[in-house]
Amino acid sequence: MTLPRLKPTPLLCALAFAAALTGCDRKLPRAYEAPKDRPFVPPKETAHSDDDGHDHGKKPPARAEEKVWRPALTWTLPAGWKDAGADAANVGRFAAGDASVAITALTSMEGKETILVNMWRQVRKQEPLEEAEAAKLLKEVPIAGAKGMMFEFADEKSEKPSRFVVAFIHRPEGSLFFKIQGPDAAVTAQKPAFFEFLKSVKLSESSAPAPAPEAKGWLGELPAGWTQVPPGPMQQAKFSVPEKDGAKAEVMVSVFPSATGGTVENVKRWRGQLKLAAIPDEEVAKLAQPLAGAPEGSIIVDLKNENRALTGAIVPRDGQWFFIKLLGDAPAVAAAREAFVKFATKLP
Amino acid sequence: MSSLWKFFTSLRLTVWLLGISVLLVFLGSLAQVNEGLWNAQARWFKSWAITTQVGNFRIPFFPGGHLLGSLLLVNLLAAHFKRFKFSFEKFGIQLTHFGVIVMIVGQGITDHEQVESFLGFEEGESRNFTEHHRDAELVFLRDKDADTDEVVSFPEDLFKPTGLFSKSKLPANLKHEKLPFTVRVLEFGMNGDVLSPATVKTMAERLKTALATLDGKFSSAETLMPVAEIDVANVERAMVWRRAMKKLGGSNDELLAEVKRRAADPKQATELMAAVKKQFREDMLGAFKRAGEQARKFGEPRMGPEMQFVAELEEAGHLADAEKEEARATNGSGRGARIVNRAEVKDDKMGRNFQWAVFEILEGGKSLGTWLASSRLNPQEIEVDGQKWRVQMRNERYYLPYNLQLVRARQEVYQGTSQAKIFASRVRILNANTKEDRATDITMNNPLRYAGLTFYQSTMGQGERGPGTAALLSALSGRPPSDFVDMEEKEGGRNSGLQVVGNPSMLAPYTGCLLVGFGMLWQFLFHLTNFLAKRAGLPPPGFGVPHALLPLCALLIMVPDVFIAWIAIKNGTFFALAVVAVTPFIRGVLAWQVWRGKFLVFAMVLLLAPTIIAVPFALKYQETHGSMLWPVSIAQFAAFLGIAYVVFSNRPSSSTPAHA
Repeated sequence: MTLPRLKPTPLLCALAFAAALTGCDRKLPRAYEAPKDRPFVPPKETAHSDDDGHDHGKKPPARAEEKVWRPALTWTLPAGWKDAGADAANVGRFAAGDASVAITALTSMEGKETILVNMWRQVRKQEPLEEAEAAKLLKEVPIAGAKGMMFEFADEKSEKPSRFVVAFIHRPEGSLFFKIQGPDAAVTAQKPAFFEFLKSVKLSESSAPAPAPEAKGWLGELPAGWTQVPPGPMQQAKFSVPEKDGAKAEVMVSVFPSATGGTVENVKRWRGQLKLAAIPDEEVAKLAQPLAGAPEGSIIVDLKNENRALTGAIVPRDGQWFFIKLLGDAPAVAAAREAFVKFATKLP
Repeated sequence: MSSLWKFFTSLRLTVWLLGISVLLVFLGSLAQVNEGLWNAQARWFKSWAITTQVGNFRIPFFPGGHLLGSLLLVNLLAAHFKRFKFSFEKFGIQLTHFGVIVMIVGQGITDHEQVESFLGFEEGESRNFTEHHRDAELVFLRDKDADTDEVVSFPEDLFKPTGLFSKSKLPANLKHEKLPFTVRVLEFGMNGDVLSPATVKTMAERLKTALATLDGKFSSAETLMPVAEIDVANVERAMVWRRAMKKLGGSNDELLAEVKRRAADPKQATELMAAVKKQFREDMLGAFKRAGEQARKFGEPRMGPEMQFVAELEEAGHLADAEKEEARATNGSGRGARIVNRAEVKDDKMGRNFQWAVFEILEGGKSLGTWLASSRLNPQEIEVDGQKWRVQMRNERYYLPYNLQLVRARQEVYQGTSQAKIFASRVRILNANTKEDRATDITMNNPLRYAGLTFYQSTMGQGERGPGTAALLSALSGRPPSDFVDMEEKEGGRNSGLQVVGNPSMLAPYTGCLLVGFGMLWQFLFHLTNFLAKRAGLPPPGFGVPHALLPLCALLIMVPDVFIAWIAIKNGTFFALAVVAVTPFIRGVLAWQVWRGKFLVFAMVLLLAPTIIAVPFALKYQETHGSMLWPVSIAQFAAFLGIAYVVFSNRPSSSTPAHA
């Protein structure tokens, strides 16, 4: 087949036109105004301090400080509930009969709802669910006039059946979690009141930064010379002990509802804080001595590395575990040890 | 002129153009092997002519995609203009051609107007700009106030050596009314390492020391065995020995015994010593060079480019050149820096290019010095006439009139594999103009379409631990966060990359395909109806008779389109928008004929076919598209029944067409 005949002049013109277009598609200079580039500061990872007595795993890279979201809340307390006040970790805490209720403000978990369900299943040694299945466990619940979500778990087969309900809402500043947990019967009985409580919550539009924790009055007996100071995150109380020739030490008290890994793991953490070399678990176990005068199962351990020392005690009492740690310069720790033992055995 | 008209309306031209297009697709596809996907597309398909470099000239040797597409379009339009005559019988063919025109025009617009860019951010981070994957820009910035910069941007196209006939258009003078100076670009490189002279010297010293140590270690045959005994204890060094031994054809089963045996023979000892030394040197230089490649891909190690450079100098026998000074730029942080050109990265998956340029600042014709700008250098300050400007080479940016914040990046793989199961980004759209503040999910096959742009999930960074997870579970359970660290790490991604596509003719391929499809269906059904009518003794497709019921049927044909249009506009459903762009036209033509009482048999068949097709779709997609498909199906079926009633109640006694 041949192309239709065409006089050369128009054909050349067409080709020249096409060739000229080859130089097209050129971009032009632009002038505009734009916001300045600012280095991004990621959200703070955890509200824990380095010396709260717990291992935080691998340390994240240093990041700029950011204010922790601490929303201003109001609520109507259901009948029979008791307000236990806020602490460093919780915006509010309540006793609902035998069940306990807590409100916690954290980094936004938006988009992580089904993962959250699965994470909690893993904690309970249950197989993770497919996303669609996990999503079915999430139910809508009204919280503070907005649509919130909730999920629920029950350990009905255990000797002491327990139940756990978590409801949450997301805000641009972070996520707000409401938790009720306790014996199955108690939580089941309090659930209607819990949902009414969620509805009654009012969230202030402005989110104030977390107030500096205050040193609340210690209900127990304090050794002479000990001064109460503001506690760090997750600490129930903190005290400074008398200096010894310029050497300083502090006592920190944390309370958890479990043994958090047991004696060996906690002693290993404490050794790590003193930068002591790792030793076999059997050796670690030998370091812990029974704490005379304290409830059964209480232990005390003395650790030292060069000029730093740590005396730690773990005291189980009334279903809670008290972790008490005397940490500081070795002379000050040695001087305060006797008072520390008395303090640990006479917890309020 | 008539000759030109004849040329452009010729069917022969169509056949020639289609033939050349097939060849272009074949050659362009082959070219992707060497040129990479992006470059081959740009050179072969998004160009007017494919050129080759001959000396200092670029010579066109094959028509590009744009030229062929344009000629096809002109040919198609001219042929239609010359021969077009509306006919209901041949409406399908015309519809098909119209669909082809829509596709060609749409592709042309896509090639010229589509902008593909990238948006990468960390969890919690907000971004209001995207960046081009490949193209760089030379920007001059000045403080407007504490929060805002005045920016003058020169895309690399303005100074990159391209053009039809010229190999290079440098030096290029860049001017803008906002700038109190002229920028004269003297040199440009598509991909280059900017090397610190001091670091080059340091790395050269290190390499020299390492090589001298190597020389000392293997200076005499007596040291061979003691050195081997020490090296074999180290896995990596032992591997070097084994590689060298393998090259000599020796046994690696008992390495030390083999070394001992060879060390006993002076000739073999010398050979082994030379081989091991050479192997150590090769491995050392290889490691230096890999450091450069890693630095280009991952940003680490920082000294990587300099390490690669000195290794290359050593290989070429010019390590002494490491001491040489270069003075390409006289000012700024690039002063004295050495530049090493690297091969242009043509496949985005293989890394990125680091463009660089040396430029001179001219104020009133007077030179203020030369600067080096590179994607590897931070902004540099330039003071001209009391004004402080900052200059930077960076990936070309496109600013958005809103912010996107990455709320959460999720990455899951199939258990026991590294195969991606879920890549998902939850992003928050923060638009001050529309007062929008809403979150939405972007997953691998579910992009976000917003304000004319489409955001596809592209990459996902496995960063450090997901923030907050351990703190959350700790707070919920009362256990220490250390108990949940593992979960945080498994849970995953911390940063996300979105591919952003802005294409004003995004709907063109969909509408074009629909038009072509409908056109072919129309034509096929018309012939089928004719065929079946003859076989069954039914009225022909053109049978028609006026009836009071027919205007109602015509309205029933059109009503669903109004509904779909309403849904599409309300929901912004992409596919529905494409349908809305096409079907009213086709349905309008059909309804018009039905209203007039013409082509009723064909209208029956044409309505019945899509109705039957639509019902299973309506059932399958009940939850998503059912609200649109059901009204269409029901209205179409009602119109079909109405027309069937008219046809069969007015059916002629013979098969003679009532409508001429």
